[in-house]
Amino acid sequence: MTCDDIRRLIHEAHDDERAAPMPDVVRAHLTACDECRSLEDDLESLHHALRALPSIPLPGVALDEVWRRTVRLRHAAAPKAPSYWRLAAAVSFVSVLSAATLYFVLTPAPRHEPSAVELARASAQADLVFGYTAHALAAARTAATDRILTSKVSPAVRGVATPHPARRRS
Amino acid sequence: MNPLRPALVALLLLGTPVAAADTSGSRSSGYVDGAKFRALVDDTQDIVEVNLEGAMLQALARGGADDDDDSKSVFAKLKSIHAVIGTVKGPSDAALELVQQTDRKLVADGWQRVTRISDGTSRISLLTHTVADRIDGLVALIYDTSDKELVFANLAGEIDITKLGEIGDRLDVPGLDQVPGAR
Repeated sequence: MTCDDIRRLIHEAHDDERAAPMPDVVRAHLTACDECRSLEDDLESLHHALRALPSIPLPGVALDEVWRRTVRLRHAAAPKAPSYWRLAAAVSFVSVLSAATLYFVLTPAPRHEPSAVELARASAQADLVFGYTAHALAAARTAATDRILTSKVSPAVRGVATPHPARRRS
Repeated sequence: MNPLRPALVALLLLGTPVAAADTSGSRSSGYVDGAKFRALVDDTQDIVEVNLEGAMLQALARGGADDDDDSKSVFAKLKSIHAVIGTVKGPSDAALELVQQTDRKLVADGWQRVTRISDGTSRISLLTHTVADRIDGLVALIYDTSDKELVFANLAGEIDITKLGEIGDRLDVPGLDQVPGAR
């Protein structure tokens, strides 16, 4: 068994509250090895020194203070970081949404250019409508002319006096 | 503050102009619905339905199939051209009544009657709608009882009647010489 093995057993013996006695193999090694015995003496001295310190109960206020500065502080600080990221995400979302909406609102829809055939058909249809409208206008002109010829000119040509409206009323 | 609130506010603010834009495409005051005339026309015979608006009129105004400058300027100011031309199904009384009824209703709505001609076999009504001394609507109603041909034509937008008459007179549209009142 090497010195490293012995020292590991020495540490284990001190970690276990000295409930079990030091193994015989360690005791035999300590009688022959000065370095390992020195380690054993240091640990033994530290153990006795710690045990000799007065036991002071921790006040409740101190416990609360420790609790506040550790656990609660950590809990309180924890949401701040996610809150910042949530706000940043919301701002980003609104920005992207606004930009996309503005793009769709302001960008004119792709204009469908009618084909030559569609244009020719539309032009012919429009010409037909214009033609009917022009004929209705011509009919109106003709009717007005006929009325004048019949009611005003023809009696005058025939020598029939047309009563003046003002005289007719009187 | 709820971080999602800005997103909701932005949605409401941006949604308003979009919703408002949907209602901005309403018909102009010179538009007249010709659905009743379409219902009178016999589907089994030749029908001409004209529905020209927006992009098509703009294309015609840019040149299209017609290089006539007068026509381009007329198309550029028009908002829509709607027409129904066909043969009436059933008795003529319904068509005559609809022509007269439409004439009266348009006059009651503030349209001006340019002419109303009625002889033994035909009815012609020509009406215009005016806004601020400018004609922004024209309706031509023509019905001939001899061949039962019904014409409903509506132009909406700024209309120059003189120019329109000149264009129509220049056109050589087959069959127009049979229209009542034509000489």
